[in-house]
Amino acid sequence: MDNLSEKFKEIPEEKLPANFRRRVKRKLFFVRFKVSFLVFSALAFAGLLVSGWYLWVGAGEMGTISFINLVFSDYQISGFLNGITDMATDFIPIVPTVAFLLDLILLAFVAKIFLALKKITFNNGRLSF
Amino acid sequence: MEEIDEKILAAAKNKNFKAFEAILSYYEKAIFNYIFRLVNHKQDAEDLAQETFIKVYAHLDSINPEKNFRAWLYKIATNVVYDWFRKKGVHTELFIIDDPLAGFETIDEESTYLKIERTQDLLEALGRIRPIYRTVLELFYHQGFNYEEITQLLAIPLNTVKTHLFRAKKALKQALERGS
Repeated sequence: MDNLSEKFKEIPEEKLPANFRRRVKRKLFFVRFKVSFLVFSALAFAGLLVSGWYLWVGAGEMGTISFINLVFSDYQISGFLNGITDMATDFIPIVPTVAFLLDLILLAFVAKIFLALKKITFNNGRLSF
Repeated sequence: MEEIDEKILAAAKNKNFKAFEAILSYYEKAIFNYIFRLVNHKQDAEDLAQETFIKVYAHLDSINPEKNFRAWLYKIATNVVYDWFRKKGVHTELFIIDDPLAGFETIDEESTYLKIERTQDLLEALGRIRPIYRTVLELFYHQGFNYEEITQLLAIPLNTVKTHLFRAKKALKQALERGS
Protein backbone atom coordinates (compact mmCIF):
# COMPACT_ATOMS: atom_id res chain seq x y z
CA MET A 1 0.00 0.00 0.00
CA ASP A 2 2.99 2.27 0.38
CA ASN A 3 2.94 2.62 -3.40
CA LEU A 4 -0.40 4.40 -3.27
CA SER A 5 1.08 7.83 -2.57
CA GLU A 6 3.35 7.49 -5.57
CA LYS A 7 0.53 6.26 -7.78
CA PHE A 8 -1.64 9.18 -6.76
CA LYS A 9 1.15 11.57 -7.62
CA GLU A 10 1.44 9.96 -11.05
CA ILE A 11 -2.14 10.90 -11.89
CA PRO A 12 -1.83 13.63 -14.53
CA GLU A 13 -3.08 17.06 -13.53
CA GLU A 14 -6.12 18.37 -15.36
CA LYS A 15 -5.57 21.61 -17.21
CA LEU A 16 -7.31 24.55 -15.58
CA PRO A 17 -10.26 25.71 -17.72
CA ALA A 18 -9.60 28.81 -19.79
CA ASN A 19 -10.54 32.11 -18.11
CA PHE A 20 -11.12 30.39 -14.78
CA ARG A 21 -9.63 33.29 -12.81
CA ARG A 22 -11.54 35.87 -14.81
CA ARG A 23 -14.81 34.04 -14.16
CA VAL A 24 -14.15 33.89 -10.43
CA LYS A 25 -13.40 37.62 -10.39
CA ARG A 26 -16.51 38.42 -12.40
CA LYS A 27 -18.68 36.45 -9.97
CA LEU A 28 -16.94 38.15 -7.07
CA PHE A 29 -17.73 41.51 -8.59
CA PHE A 30 -21.43 40.66 -8.31
CA VAL A 31 -21.00 39.41 -4.77
CA ARG A 32 -19.04 42.48 -3.65
CA PHE A 33 -21.54 44.92 -5.10
CA LYS A 34 -24.65 42.94 -4.28
CA VAL A 35 -26.09 45.51 -1.85
CA SER A 36 -25.43 48.45 -4.17
CA PHE A 37 -26.93 46.45 -6.99
CA LEU A 38 -30.10 45.70 -5.02
CA VAL A 39 -30.51 49.39 -4.00
CA PHE A 40 -29.95 50.47 -7.59
CA SER A 41 -32.53 47.94 -8.83
CA ALA A 42 -35.07 49.11 -6.26
CA LEU A 43 -34.57 52.74 -7.35
CA ALA A 44 -34.91 51.81 -11.04
CA PHE A 45 -38.11 49.92 -10.26
CA ALA A 46 -39.49 52.87 -8.27
CA GLY A 47 -38.61 55.16 -11.20
CA LEU A 48 -40.48 52.86 -13.56
CA LEU A 49 -43.57 52.90 -11.35
CA VAL A 50 -43.55 56.70 -10.98
CA SER A 51 -43.01 57.44 -14.68
CA GLY A 52 -45.54 54.74 -15.65
CA TRP A 53 -48.14 56.15 -13.29
CA TYR A 54 -47.47 59.70 -14.57
CA LEU A 55 -47.93 58.54 -18.16
CA TRP A 56 -51.09 56.64 -17.32
CA VAL A 57 -52.68 59.63 -15.58
CA GLY A 58 -51.53 61.99 -18.34
CA ALA A 59 -52.86 59.72 -21.07
CA GLY A 60 -56.21 59.40 -19.29
CA GLU A 61 -56.58 63.14 -18.90
CA MET A 62 -55.79 63.81 -22.55
CA GLY A 63 -58.21 61.23 -23.85
CA THR A 64 -55.51 59.08 -25.46
CA ILE A 65 -57.09 55.91 -24.19
CA SER A 66 -60.45 56.72 -25.79
CA PHE A 67 -58.58 57.70 -28.96
CA ILE A 68 -56.83 54.31 -29.10
CA ASN A 69 -60.14 52.55 -28.43
CA LEU A 70 -61.66 54.46 -31.31
CA VAL A 71 -58.82 53.46 -33.64
CA PHE A 72 -59.11 49.80 -32.71
CA SER A 73 -62.90 49.69 -33.00
CA ASP A 74 -62.76 51.15 -36.53
CA TYR A 75 -59.49 49.51 -37.56
CA GLN A 76 -57.56 50.81 -40.57
CA ILE A 77 -53.80 50.50 -40.57
CA SER A 78 -53.00 53.75 -42.41
CA GLY A 79 -55.45 55.72 -40.30
CA PHE A 80 -54.04 54.13 -37.17
CA LEU A 81 -50.44 55.06 -38.04
CA ASN A 82 -51.35 58.60 -39.05
CA GLY A 83 -53.35 59.01 -35.90
CA ILE A 84 -50.50 57.74 -33.74
CA THR A 85 -47.99 60.05 -35.42
CA ASP A 86 -50.19 63.09 -35.06
CA MET A 87 -51.33 62.36 -31.56
CA ALA A 88 -47.95 61.32 -30.25
CA THR A 89 -46.40 64.73 -30.77
CA ASP A 90 -49.46 66.49 -29.30
CA PHE A 91 -50.43 64.32 -26.37
CA ILE A 92 -47.56 62.17 -25.13
CA PRO A 93 -45.34 63.96 -22.59
CA ILE A 94 -41.78 63.36 -23.79
CA VAL A 95 -39.81 63.45 -20.52
CA PRO A 96 -41.81 60.82 -18.57
CA THR A 97 -41.99 58.64 -21.67
CA VAL A 98 -38.23 58.68 -22.14
CA ALA A 99 -37.79 58.07 -18.40
CA PHE A 100 -40.24 55.18 -18.58
CA LEU A 101 -38.49 53.58 -21.55
CA LEU A 102 -35.05 54.06 -20.01
CA ASP A 103 -36.25 52.49 -16.76
CA LEU A 104 -37.71 49.61 -18.71
CA ILE A 105 -34.40 48.96 -20.52
CA LEU A 106 -32.49 49.36 -17.25
CA LEU A 107 -34.73 46.86 -15.46
CA ALA A 108 -34.41 44.35 -18.29
CA PHE A 109 -30.64 44.64 -17.90
CA VAL A 110 -30.95 44.38 -14.10
CA ALA A 111 -33.10 41.26 -14.48
CA LYS A 112 -30.42 39.69 -16.66
CA ILE A 113 -27.73 40.44 -14.07
CA PHE A 114 -30.01 39.29 -11.27
CA LEU A 115 -30.35 35.85 -12.85
CA ALA A 116 -26.56 35.52 -12.84
CA LEU A 117 -26.39 36.87 -9.28
CA LYS A 118 -29.08 34.46 -8.12
CA LYS A 119 -27.12 31.54 -9.48
CA ILE A 120 -24.04 32.69 -7.62
CA THR A 121 -25.34 33.86 -4.27
CA PHE A 122 -28.56 32.02 -3.55
CA ASN A 123 -28.44 28.57 -2.09
CA ASN A 124 -31.69 26.64 -1.59
CA GLY A 125 -33.64 29.88 -1.83
CA ARG A 126 -31.57 31.61 0.85
CA LEU A 127 -28.72 34.05 0.47
CA SER A 128 -25.55 32.07 0.98
CA PHE A 129 -23.57 34.85 2.58
CA MET B 1 2.81 22.16 -1.98
CA GLU B 2 4.31 24.90 0.13
CA GLU B 3 2.18 27.22 2.22
CA ILE B 4 1.48 30.68 0.88
CA ASP B 5 3.27 33.66 2.44
CA GLU B 6 1.83 34.74 5.79
CA LYS B 7 1.95 38.40 4.74
CA ILE B 8 -0.41 37.65 1.87
CA LEU B 9 -2.76 35.87 4.27
CA ALA B 10 -2.66 38.80 6.70
CA ALA B 11 -3.50 41.20 3.87
CA ALA B 12 -6.27 38.91 2.62
CA LYS B 13 -7.75 38.83 6.11
CA ASN B 14 -8.27 42.59 5.76
CA LYS B 15 -10.18 41.97 2.52
CA ASN B 16 -7.31 43.13 0.34
CA PHE B 17 -8.39 42.09 -3.14
CA LYS B 18 -4.83 41.87 -4.49
CA ALA B 19 -3.98 39.44 -1.70
CA PHE B 20 -7.05 37.40 -2.55
CA GLU B 21 -5.96 37.33 -6.19
CA ALA B 22 -2.58 36.02 -5.06
CA ILE B 23 -4.29 33.21 -3.13
CA LEU B 24 -6.48 32.47 -6.13
CA SER B 25 -3.55 32.20 -8.54
CA TYR B 26 -1.54 30.13 -6.06
CA TYR B 27 -4.19 27.51 -5.32
CA GLU B 28 -6.60 27.55 -8.28
CA LYS B 29 -5.07 24.61 -10.12
CA ALA B 30 -4.67 22.47 -7.02
CA ILE B 31 -8.23 23.12 -5.83
CA PHE B 32 -9.68 22.54 -9.29
CA ASN B 33 -7.83 19.23 -9.58
CA TYR B 34 -8.80 18.16 -6.07
CA ILE B 35 -12.46 18.82 -6.82
CA PHE B 36 -12.20 17.24 -10.25
CA ARG B 37 -10.94 13.99 -8.72
CA LEU B 38 -13.84 14.00 -6.27
CA VAL B 39 -16.62 14.71 -8.74
CA ASN B 40 -15.05 13.24 -11.89
CA HIS B 41 -16.63 15.83 -14.18
CA LYS B 42 -14.78 18.80 -15.60
CA GLN B 43 -17.62 21.33 -15.87
CA ASP B 44 -18.95 20.51 -12.39
CA ALA B 45 -15.43 20.74 -11.02
CA GLU B 46 -15.01 24.17 -12.55
CA ASP B 47 -18.30 25.45 -11.10
CA LEU B 48 -17.51 24.02 -7.67
CA ALA B 49 -13.97 25.42 -7.70
CA GLN B 50 -15.36 28.85 -8.53
CA GLU B 51 -17.88 28.54 -5.71
CA THR B 52 -15.06 27.52 -3.38
CA PHE B 53 -13.10 30.69 -4.09
CA ILE B 54 -16.19 32.85 -3.73
CA LYS B 55 -16.76 31.31 -0.30
CA VAL B 56 -13.10 31.84 0.53
CA TYR B 57 -13.49 35.52 -0.33
CA ALA B 58 -16.65 35.78 1.76
CA HIS B 59 -14.86 34.29 4.76
CA LEU B 60 -11.47 35.97 4.40
CA ASP B 61 -11.88 37.63 7.78
CA SER B 62 -11.82 34.23 9.47
CA ILE B 63 -8.33 33.42 8.16
CA ASN B 64 -5.78 32.83 10.87
CA PRO B 65 -2.34 33.36 9.27
CA GLU B 66 -0.73 31.33 12.04
CA LYS B 67 -2.90 28.29 11.40
CA ASN B 68 -2.87 25.85 8.51
CA PHE B 69 -4.39 27.90 5.69
CA ARG B 70 -4.15 25.07 3.16
CA ALA B 71 -6.24 22.78 5.39
CA TRP B 72 -8.79 25.59 5.83
CA LEU B 73 -8.98 26.05 2.06
CA TYR B 74 -9.44 22.34 1.41
CA LYS B 75 -12.09 22.21 4.11
CA ILE B 76 -14.10 24.84 2.25
CA ALA B 77 -13.62 22.99 -1.05
CA THR B 78 -14.69 19.71 0.55
CA ASN B 79 -17.78 21.32 2.09
CA VAL B 80 -18.74 22.82 -1.26
CA VAL B 81 -18.41 19.44 -2.94
CA TYR B 82 -20.36 17.64 -0.20
CA ASP B 83 -23.17 20.21 -0.31
CA TRP B 84 -23.33 19.55 -4.04
CA PHE B 85 -23.33 15.78 -3.49
CA ARG B 86 -26.20 16.13 -1.01
CA LYS B 87 -28.20 18.21 -3.47
CA LYS B 88 -27.65 15.49 -6.06
CA GLY B 89 -28.72 12.84 -3.56
CA VAL B 90 -25.33 11.12 -3.48
CA HIS B 91 -24.68 8.97 -0.41
CA THR B 92 -22.09 11.03 1.49
CA GLU B 93 -22.33 10.46 5.22
CA LEU B 94 -19.07 11.31 6.94
CA PHE B 95 -19.78 9.51 10.17
CA ILE B 96 -19.90 5.76 10.42
CA ILE B 97 -21.15 3.65 13.28
CA ASP B 98 -18.05 2.59 15.15
CA ASP B 99 -17.49 -1.07 14.66
CA PRO B 100 -15.10 -2.56 17.24
CA LEU B 101 -14.07 -5.17 14.70
CA ALA B 102 -13.32 -2.66 11.99
CA GLY B 103 -9.66 -2.25 11.20
CA PHE B 104 -7.65 0.92 11.35
CA GLU B 105 -5.34 2.40 8.79
CA THR B 106 -1.86 0.95 8.75
CA ILE B 107 0.47 2.11 6.04
CA ASP B 108 2.14 -1.17 5.17
CA GLU B 109 -0.60 -3.66 5.76
CA GLU B 110 0.08 -6.71 3.60
CA SER B 111 -3.54 -7.74 3.17
CA THR B 112 -4.50 -4.50 1.45
CA TYR B 113 -1.47 -4.09 -0.76
CA LEU B 114 -2.55 -2.76 -4.11
CA LYS B 115 -1.05 -3.75 -7.39
CA ILE B 116 -1.68 -0.84 -9.70
CA GLU B 117 -0.45 -1.26 -13.24
CA ARG B 118 -1.63 2.03 -14.70
CA THR B 119 -2.71 5.34 -13.21
CA GLN B 120 -5.79 5.10 -15.42
CA ASP B 121 -6.82 1.96 -13.51
CA LEU B 122 -6.47 3.88 -10.27
CA LEU B 123 -8.58 6.77 -11.61
CA GLU B 124 -11.32 4.44 -12.77
CA ALA B 125 -11.31 2.51 -9.51
CA LEU B 126 -11.51 5.76 -7.54
CA GLY B 127 -14.57 6.69 -9.56
CA ARG B 128 -16.28 3.48 -8.44
CA ILE B 129 -15.84 3.83 -4.68
CA ARG B 130 -17.91 5.90 -2.26
CA PRO B 131 -17.24 9.66 -2.25
CA ILE B 132 -16.08 9.69 1.37
CA TYR B 133 -13.53 6.96 0.62
CA ARG B 134 -12.37 8.86 -2.43
CA THR B 135 -12.04 11.98 -0.30
CA VAL B 136 -9.93 10.46 2.48
CA LEU B 137 -7.65 8.67 0.03
CA GLU B 138 -7.20 11.86 -1.95
CA LEU B 139 -6.51 13.95 1.15
CA PHE B 140 -4.15 11.44 2.75
CA TYR B 141 -2.24 9.99 -0.18
CA HIS B 142 -2.37 12.74 -2.75
CA GLN B 143 -2.61 15.99 -0.83
CA GLY B 144 -0.41 14.72 1.97
CA PHE B 145 -2.60 15.78 4.90
CA ASN B 146 -2.02 13.86 8.12
CA TYR B 147 -4.69 12.26 10.31
CA GLU B 148 -5.13 15.30 12.56
CA GLU B 149 -5.50 17.63 9.61
CA ILE B 150 -8.08 15.35 7.98
CA THR B 151 -9.90 15.17 11.31
CA GLN B 152 -10.23 18.96 11.33
CA LEU B 153 -10.87 19.18 7.64
CA LEU B 154 -13.77 16.74 7.62
CA ALA B 155 -14.88 17.52 11.20
CA ILE B 156 -14.92 13.85 12.14
CA PRO B 157 -13.18 11.99 14.99
CA LEU B 158 -9.67 10.60 14.54
CA ASN B 159 -10.81 6.98 14.77
CA THR B 160 -13.37 7.60 12.07
CA VAL B 161 -10.67 8.99 9.79
CA LYS B 162 -8.56 5.88 10.36
CA THR B 163 -11.50 3.57 9.81
CA HIS B 164 -12.46 5.42 6.63
CA LEU B 165 -8.92 5.10 5.33
CA PHE B 166 -8.81 1.40 6.10
CA ARG B 167 -12.13 0.76 4.41
CA ALA B 168 -11.29 3.08 1.53
CA LYS B 169 -8.20 1.05 0.69
CA LYS B 170 -10.18 -2.18 0.86
CA ALA B 171 -12.86 -0.70 -1.38
CA LEU B 172 -10.19 0.55 -3.78
CA LYS B 173 -8.59 -2.86 -3.87
CA GLN B 174 -11.92 -4.49 -4.70
CA ALA B 175 -12.62 -1.86 -7.36
CA LEU B 176 -9.20 -2.47 -8.91
CA GLU B 177 -9.74 -6.23 -8.90
CA ARG B 178 -13.17 -5.87 -10.48
CA GLY B 179 -11.69 -3.54 -13.08
CA SER B 180 -8.98 -5.95 -14.05
